[in-house]
Amino acid sequence: MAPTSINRWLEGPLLSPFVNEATFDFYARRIHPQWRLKRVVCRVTEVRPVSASMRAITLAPNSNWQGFQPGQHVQVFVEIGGIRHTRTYSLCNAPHEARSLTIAIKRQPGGLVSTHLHDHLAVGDLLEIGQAWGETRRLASPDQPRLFIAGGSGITPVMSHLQDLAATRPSTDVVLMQYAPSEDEIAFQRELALLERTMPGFRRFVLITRDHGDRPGVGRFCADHLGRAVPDASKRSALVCGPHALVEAVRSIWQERAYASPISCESFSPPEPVDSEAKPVQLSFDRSGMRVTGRSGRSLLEQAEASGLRPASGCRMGICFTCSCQKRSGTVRNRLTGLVSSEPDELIRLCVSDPLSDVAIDL
Amino acid sequence: MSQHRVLSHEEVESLGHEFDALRLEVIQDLGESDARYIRRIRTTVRLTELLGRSLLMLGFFPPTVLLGTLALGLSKILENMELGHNVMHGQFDWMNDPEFNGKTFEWNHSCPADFWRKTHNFEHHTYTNIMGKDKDLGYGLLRLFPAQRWKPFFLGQTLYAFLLATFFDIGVAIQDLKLGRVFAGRANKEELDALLPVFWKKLRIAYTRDYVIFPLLAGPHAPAVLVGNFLANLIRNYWTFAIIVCGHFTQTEVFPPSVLANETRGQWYLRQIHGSSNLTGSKLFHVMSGNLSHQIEHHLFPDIPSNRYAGLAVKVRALCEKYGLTYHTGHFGRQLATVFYRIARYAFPNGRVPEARSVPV
Repeated sequence: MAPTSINRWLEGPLLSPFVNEATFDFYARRIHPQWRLKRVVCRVTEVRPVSASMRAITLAPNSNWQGFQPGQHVQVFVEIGGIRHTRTYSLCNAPHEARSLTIAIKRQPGGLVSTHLHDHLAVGDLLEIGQAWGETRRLASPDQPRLFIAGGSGITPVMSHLQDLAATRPSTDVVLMQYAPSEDEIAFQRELALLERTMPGFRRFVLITRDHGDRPGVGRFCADHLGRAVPDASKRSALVCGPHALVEAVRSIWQERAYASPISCESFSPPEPVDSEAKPVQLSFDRSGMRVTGRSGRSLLEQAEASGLRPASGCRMGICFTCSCQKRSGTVRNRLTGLVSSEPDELIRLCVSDPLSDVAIDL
Repeated sequence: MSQHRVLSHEEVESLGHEFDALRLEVIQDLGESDARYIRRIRTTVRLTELLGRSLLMLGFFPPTVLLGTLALGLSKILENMELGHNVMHGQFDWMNDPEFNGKTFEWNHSCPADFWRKTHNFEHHTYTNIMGKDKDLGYGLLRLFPAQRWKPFFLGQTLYAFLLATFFDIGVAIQDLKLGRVFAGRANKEELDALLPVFWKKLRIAYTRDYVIFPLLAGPHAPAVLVGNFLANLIRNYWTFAIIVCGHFTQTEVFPPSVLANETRGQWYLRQIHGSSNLTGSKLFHVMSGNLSHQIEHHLFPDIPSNRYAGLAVKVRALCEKYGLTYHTGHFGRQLATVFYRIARYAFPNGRVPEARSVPV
């Protein structure tokens, strides 16, 4: 019997009350290293560099993987020193490649997880991931001309859209504006060059932002770039992906010009705190009996960790709720929503909560 | 009754700070070796269960029945105490591993994990040894301290204790249903209606597993499996009962609810020391007791991984000496005898036994 059908059988109404996931996984992984009841465990099938600091990793998931749509992301779980860390990466292949998925990981200077993955992950290793998540966009018409604006590692979800278009509608009119700080940081050169050959309607503009020797950089995204590369931007369904600043710059131009086309923004660094000015606040971590002077404009998770505490945490960007905990008193602002919570005993996510006043939390 | 020096307010607070510092020191040091420890316990639980259940399936051959029962009993004890109890305290939450997440962990036991998280983690650990608040203080069936009011009901408590120990798994599960209130006609019907289905479901699963599914899997050897499972559960129940009653019902003290008013963190720590007692023994004994043999350390730091208690005990004991506090500890047999004596003695009114002092904390 194939593992899939055993899983389905065990998850049925008759047996599921008697099946403990942890117990099942304990034995299943000894029969086949990737077999689990619900968790998605992948085997690394390929690791290749796609720019000076970025590696694409191709994974073969187990049968619990439910597939994805272009532009979606996955959480990747990596255990380092007994602690499981979670990072989110965008999928960058086409969804129709059913039993295979690719993510691209940029080595972040001083980044614990990205450094670990760059230095240690090899073909044949196992890697656990979550199910794909993230909004998928429906176009008014599938033939609508497209515009992608990608900054740095923001190219990764765009790759998935492009690969998908190449496979399903290769004649679509597509413009890509790809920003990179230097020549060797232009990711997916080979793949994009191949797409230019196979998709007649695909035009690609590479913009190097920084100066290199006597070649001046073009600087960050501005209206001038847009006007020269895509005079018909208003007609296109646009998607921008990259650092927060790029997303904001594009958004404000679209707003200014009242472009009708919808614009999807997917930015992977959590939004910056609203208060640039930091004022000192008193933080009490009740369960630990600790009172420290913290500051506004820095997440409670970071400040708790800086005080030597070890709260459970996951994605660090407000998605997974692993770090949620009771706030006893005080006012915090949610970075994602901008909402302010001042009621006592509210559940807050530490990773996206900035204190605005003295705060007491049950940690 | 132990003799404690009465500490000044300043001393209590500085003691509190010293314990906070101890806690932080350990928390900052948590890492790979602690993760390896709990996984090794998990592996031992699974493999002893596999061994026990396999041996019992071989039928009524005395050596296999005996070994199988012992292995399964060992697995149940470890799963109950060192794995389940400690993980559900959130001791391993910092690992971020869903398998060891204290909020979602579910154990192979008659008591739903959510009941336990409430009666044990919250009620017992917050209100340790406070009369009327800490339901673990005699489970509403036993009178263990002279300060508890005597009723004729307690005359039968030697029998109740025996029954409670025998069916301790169910006893633990029933605790959250607050049956005492039901019998007194003061039950909160809504609350009870919400809890009962959860209670029955978990109990049904636990009993179906041990008394229907595994016997059926053994085919003609079902009787051996039935007997082995019953005995393994009995071993687990007696053992856990014995360890747990030794944690708080020995030379320890009880408190009136009035101590809770404006109790500071230092005073809370002090109450845990006054109200808990340790057991001495080998490394294996500590693991088998779920490290509840380090009851004092567990009550001071319920969310620190249990494998750290032995190391902490040395420092806690030194602090107790520094502040002139009695560090209750003793051999398992002696402590258990103390508890049995209490059960037998306080079934009867106090007589000339002096009222317990309430400790000025």
